[in-house]
Amino acid sequence: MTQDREWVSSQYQVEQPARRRAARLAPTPRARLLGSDVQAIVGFTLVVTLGLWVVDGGLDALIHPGAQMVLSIGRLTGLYAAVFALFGLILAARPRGLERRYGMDQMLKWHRLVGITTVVLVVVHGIFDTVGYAMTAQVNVVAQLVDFAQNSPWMLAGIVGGLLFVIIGLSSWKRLRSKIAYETWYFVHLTAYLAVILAFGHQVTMGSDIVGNRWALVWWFGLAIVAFGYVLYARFGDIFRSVTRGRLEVTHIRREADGVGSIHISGPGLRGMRADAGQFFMLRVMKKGLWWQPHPFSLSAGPTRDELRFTVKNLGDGTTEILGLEPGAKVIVEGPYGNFTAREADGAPVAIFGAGVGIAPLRAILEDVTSDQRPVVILRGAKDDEIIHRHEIEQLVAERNGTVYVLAGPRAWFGNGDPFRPDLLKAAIPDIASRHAYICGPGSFEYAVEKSLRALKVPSYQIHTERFGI
Amino acid sequence: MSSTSRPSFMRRIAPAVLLGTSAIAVVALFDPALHGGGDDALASAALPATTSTTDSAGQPSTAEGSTSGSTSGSTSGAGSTTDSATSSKSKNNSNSNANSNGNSNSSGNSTSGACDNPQVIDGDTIQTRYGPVQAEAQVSNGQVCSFTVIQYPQNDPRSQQISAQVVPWLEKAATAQGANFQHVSGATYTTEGYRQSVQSILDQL
Repeated sequence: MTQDREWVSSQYQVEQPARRRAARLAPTPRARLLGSDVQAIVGFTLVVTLGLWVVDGGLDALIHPGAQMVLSIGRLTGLYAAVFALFGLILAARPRGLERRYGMDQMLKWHRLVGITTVVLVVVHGIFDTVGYAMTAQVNVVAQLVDFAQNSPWMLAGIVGGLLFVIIGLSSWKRLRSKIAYETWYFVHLTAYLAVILAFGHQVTMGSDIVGNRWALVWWFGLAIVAFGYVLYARFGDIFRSVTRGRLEVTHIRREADGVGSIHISGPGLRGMRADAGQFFMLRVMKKGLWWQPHPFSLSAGPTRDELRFTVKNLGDGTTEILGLEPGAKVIVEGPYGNFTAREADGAPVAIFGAGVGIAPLRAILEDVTSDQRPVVILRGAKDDEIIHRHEIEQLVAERNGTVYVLAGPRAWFGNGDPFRPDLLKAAIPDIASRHAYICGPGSFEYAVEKSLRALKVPSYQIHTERFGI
Repeated sequence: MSSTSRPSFMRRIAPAVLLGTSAIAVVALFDPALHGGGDDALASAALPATTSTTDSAGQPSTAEGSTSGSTSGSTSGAGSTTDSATSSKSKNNSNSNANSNGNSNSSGNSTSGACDNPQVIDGDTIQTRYGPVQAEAQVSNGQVCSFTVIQYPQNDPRSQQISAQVVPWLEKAATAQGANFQHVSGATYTTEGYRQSVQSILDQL
C-alpha cells in the first residue's frame, strides 16, 4: 500500500479533433520599462531629495550637536518619509508597466518594505522635529505640540496624517492583521491617500528645505503631481478601459473540483482586449458587497474573442459569492498581469509542474506550447479529483506528442515523501537541464520543485513561477 | 450564506470610515491654515509664545529648521558679530529681555530721550532667500532715536510666523545696540539682512 510508487505517465488517445476555437486575443506587448529605467528614476528622486536637505545646510547642522542636529535629522526623515509614501502608493496601485517588468508578488513585497520604512521615517521625523523645536524654544514637548497645532499652518494636518500612517502600520502588523476583518484592514489602508494629502500641506508651509526655494518647491509639487497622476492612471486607467470597451458578463460557472470552479466570461468588452494564456486579471464583480474588491484570477484557457475562462479556488474572501453567481452578472477586469506565458520559453522544450488550482494557468499556457517543445507535464494533488482540468491537459499534451505524469495521493507515496526528488525528476525527464520549467502551485510545492531543478543545474532564467494569480 | 454571524460590509468598513472622517474633521476644524483666523493666530498666539519662549540669551527662538544658527553667514561672513555680541552683552540682553516682556507690539519708540522732529532714513533693501528686509531709522540731531523694520519676509505663512516673532525683537535690539546684535537662531537670514540694512543707515550718518 504505502510502498513507493513509480511516476507513471497517463496514456491518452486523442479521441476527436479539438473543436474549433474562436480567434485568440492579440498578445500583450513586452515590458518597455527596463530595470535600469526604474533604478534611474528612483535614484534620481532620492538624490534630488537628499540635495534639498544638503543645500539647505542639513549636513552642516548635522555636525553641530544640539537642537540643530536634531532638527536636521527630523527634516531628512521627513523628506524621505514623503518620498517613500509616494513610492508605496505607486506600488500598491499596481501600474501595469512596472508589473510587466517585476511581477506583482515582487511589487507587493516592495510595497511592504517601503510601507514599513515610511512608518518608521514618519515616527522618527515626528519625534525629532518636535523635540528639536521644543529644544530651540525651550519648552516641553507637549507645549511644542500644542503650539504646532495652534499656530503653524497645516501642522495639525501633518500630525493627523502621521498618526494615520502609524495606525495603518499597526493594522498591517501580522498579529493585529490576523484579528481584523479583511475589509476593515483594506479600508483603513486606503486612508493612506488621505494621510499623504494631509501631510503635504505642512511640507510646503513649514518644510524649510522647500519653503523659500523656488526650485525646491517646483520639484516637490512636481513629484507629488507626477506620483498622484501615475497612481490615478494605474488605479483607474484599466477600469476605465474595461468599461469603455464594453460589457462583460458571466455566462456560466462550472464546478471543477471541491471548492474550485471555472468562471466563463463573455461580452462585447472582449473586443480590442489583449491578453496571453497564463496571465491573470483582477476581476471585479459589479454587485452589492463585491464591487469594491478586485480578485486576482488566472486565465485557465487561451483568451479568445468569445470568452475568458478563469479557474478559481474558493478562499472565502468573496470568492464564495463569486462562485455562486448567476449567469448575467456584470464584471470589470483590470489587467492582464504577469509574465507567466509560453513566450518566456522562446520555443525551447518545456517541463510543466502544477499543483492544486495552480494547474489553471499552466493549462492555458499549454495551448501556446508547440509539439517541437515536447511538453512534459507533472500534475500533483493529494487526491485524484484535485487534479483540475486533467482531461483537457491530457488531450492538449497528446496533441503535442508530450507526456503527462499525474502524482495523486499522499506525499508519502512518492519518492519516500519527496515526490520531486532530483533522481526521480531526472529519470522521468532526462533532458531537464535544457528545458524551461513552468511551476505553479502552493508555496511549498513550488519550493520543492525549484530546489530539485537547481540541484539538476537548471539555470534560474529557465525557471518560471507564478505565485500571485492563483 | 454561511455567514450568519458575520458583521455586515458597512459594519466592517466602519472603523476606516470613522478614522478618515475624524481625521478630516479635526484638520478642518482646528488647523490654523483652514480655521479662519490664520492671521489672528499669528498675531495673537505667536507673539506670546515668543515672550514665553525667550531663551536665556534674550533672543526669541524660532525653530526655523532650515537656518542653522551655528552655520550663520550664508549671505555674508558675519560670524564675528555673533561672537563679540555674545561675549560683551549679557547685561544688555537682560535689559532688552525685560523690555520685551512688557510690550509685544514692537517698535523702539520707547527709547529714552526726546526725538523731536525726527528725520526718517531708510536703509538698503537686502534680499534674503526668504524675501527682502529693510530697516528704517528715526534720526534726530544725528542721533538715532529708533529703528523699525519696514520690510520683512512674509511671502509664505511660515515666514510670516517667524517674522511676527523676530521683527519686534530686531527693532529693540537695533535701537539698543545698532548693528551689533546677535543672530536669532532659526531666523538667520532675516537677522543678517536686517543687520546689513541697519549698517547701511549707520554708514550714512
